[in-house]
Amino acid sequence: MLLEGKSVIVTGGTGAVGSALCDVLSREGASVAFNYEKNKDKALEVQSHIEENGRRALAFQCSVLDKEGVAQMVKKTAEEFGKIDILVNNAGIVQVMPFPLIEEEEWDLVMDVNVKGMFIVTKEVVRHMVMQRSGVIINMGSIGGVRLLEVPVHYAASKAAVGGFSIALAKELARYNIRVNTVVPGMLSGGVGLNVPEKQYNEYMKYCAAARPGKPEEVAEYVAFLVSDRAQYINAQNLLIDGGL
Amino acid sequence: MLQDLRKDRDYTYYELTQSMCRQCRKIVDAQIIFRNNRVYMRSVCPEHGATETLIASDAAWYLKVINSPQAPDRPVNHSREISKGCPFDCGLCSWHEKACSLPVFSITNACNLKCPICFTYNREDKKYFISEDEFKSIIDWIIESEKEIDLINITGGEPTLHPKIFSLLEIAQRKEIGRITLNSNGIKLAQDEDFVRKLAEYGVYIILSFNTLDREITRDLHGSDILDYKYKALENLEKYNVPTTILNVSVKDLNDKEIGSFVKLMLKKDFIRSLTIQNMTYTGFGGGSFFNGENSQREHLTIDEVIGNISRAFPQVIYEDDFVPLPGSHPLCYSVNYLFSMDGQVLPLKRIFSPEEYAAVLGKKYLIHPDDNFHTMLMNKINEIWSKEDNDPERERKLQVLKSFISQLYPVGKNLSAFERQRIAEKNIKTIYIHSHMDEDNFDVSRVVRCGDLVPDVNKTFIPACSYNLFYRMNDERFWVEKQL
Repeated sequence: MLLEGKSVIVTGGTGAVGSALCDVLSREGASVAFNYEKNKDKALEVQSHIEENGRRALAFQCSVLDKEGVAQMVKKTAEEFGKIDILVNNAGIVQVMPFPLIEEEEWDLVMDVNVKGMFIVTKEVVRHMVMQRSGVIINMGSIGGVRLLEVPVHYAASKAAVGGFSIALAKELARYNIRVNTVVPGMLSGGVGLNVPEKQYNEYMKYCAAARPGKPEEVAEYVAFLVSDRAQYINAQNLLIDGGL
Repeated sequence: MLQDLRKDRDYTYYELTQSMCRQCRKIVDAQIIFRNNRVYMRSVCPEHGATETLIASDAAWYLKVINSPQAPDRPVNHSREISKGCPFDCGLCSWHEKACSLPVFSITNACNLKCPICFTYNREDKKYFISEDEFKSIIDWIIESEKEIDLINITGGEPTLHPKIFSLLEIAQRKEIGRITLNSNGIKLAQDEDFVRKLAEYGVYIILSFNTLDREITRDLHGSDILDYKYKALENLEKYNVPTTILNVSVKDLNDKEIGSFVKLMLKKDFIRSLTIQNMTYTGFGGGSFFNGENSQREHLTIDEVIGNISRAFPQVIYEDDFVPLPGSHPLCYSVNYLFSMDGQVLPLKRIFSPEEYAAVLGKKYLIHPDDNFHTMLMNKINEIWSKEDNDPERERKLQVLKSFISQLYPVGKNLSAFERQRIAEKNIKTIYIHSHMDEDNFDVSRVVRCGDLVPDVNKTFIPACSYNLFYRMNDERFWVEKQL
């Protein structure tokens, strides 16, 4: 197993990619804590999957923008698991809207959840990692932030920001043996990929070597390797998993 | 005498077509003439003389639409050569100019009403219910011939009385068929809630005949007061969220002033997707002897009169210019107005798109599909409206409506399937169709050759719906016994 004895926090654990992450990381031996915002039934389902894999599970209902809630989640996880080895910043939203119709509030909402939320959670978790002098952070980017694709500009901007955040943080935390990478999924069959207009979906498929959308589980398998000790030399990268584009 | 002959005619000749004589039912020559800014068809039977029928109340409107560009259609599979001439070679014959856009299945002659306005023939002495084998064989050959069909229509009689209706719907559940529509007078839908629930499971779209909100007029039109059935049917359809079209048959000077109320009803209720207004046709079992008006005249309601009624009912909201001929059909057969309707806002698509773009959006079919092309055109339009510095007083409203539409198709934090998005698009883009059927007074060969509403049968033939009603149905032993051809 890749992650025997590790403890992990996954944000947005009830989404398509988030639940796959919880499942795969626990299957690989990690105890998993995750947060979710609304879907309590799904959270219970994710929790039982983790436990079926023989690992400990913690579920927290709070937004990544809720500083108090996030602080509680991190504190409680550290207490229960004894440490936090891995953070996967997966929570994110997308709003399909053409540029002329994006208003300031909508820009703020997307940037808040996708960038500020990542900042809030990371800041809380990194305190523990610095004390431990070790850690791995994966931030979820998007193909929309790195390629010429028709995606909403606020979403693309937020995902490009994830890449910049990761690189700078990787440099700053290197001295504490903390690695930070961005995983950049292409079109997926679940999660925000479901909300892609047919036109953009078809265009992606036209140029994708795999000629199919990726599966959330495939992203989770990739992350499981990247956060493992076998990937110790991989740091400060934008790592694409896009089927070949 | 000579002076009298040399007097100017009181009309202006426009063109020549062919119509029919109501008495001998032969095809006769007919002129299209303008008089006092109105447009008439003047048909002349050598034996029974001339008759005039109003076909448009405004000559300017007529001239504007009559030559509107029509989308060229692909050749149809003709099964008959020309021998007797239109409309007697139906099969289709090689003169027919339109592919099938709507196959119309009469699955029964049974009906639980005997409406004075009924424009079809339904024999009562011998009940007919289409067999599953017959229905399947027709569906099979249509798909073989047309490859795919946007929608089919199942009608009667009253099709909900068919004892095997759900078996037939099962047979019609083919991937090549986009949508199944089922006509109903609403009585069964009112009486049997479970029947409506089952229809919802089959994804059927209901076309509910609903002509008036006035109890007295209901009796005039249907022979009895059936208004409560209509309300109950609507209640059940709404409960199970069955996509519904209101079919309103409008009779001049009787219920034509109520059209606005039905438009309001459509805009108010999410499950009501569209409103079809049909003019009264004075033919068939009941309509052939139905008269209205002070002088017992057969007063024909024209498309432009219906448009006028609607725009007067919605001043500053719906304009006459928002209606356009359906590109695939004759301008005197179909006029259509697609409108965004959400959050209390109404915005006809015609005001967003140029005439060329609008024609491209509509295509040759009856339904707008929110596909790639539609999406691209909408995005282009948003940028255009937003960037253009003009004095369009509706600019902000247009952008607001378009944004609301996109927000509903792609809600934040909720992933919808393509099917769910299709349903949301349908809910937010309502449609008003004005569909003008023909009867013995205004039958026009030039219209029928461009008809895509076709009645299929097991012999692999198609007959345009109006030709079928006027020339073939009474010759069809399933529906009538009188041999007239």
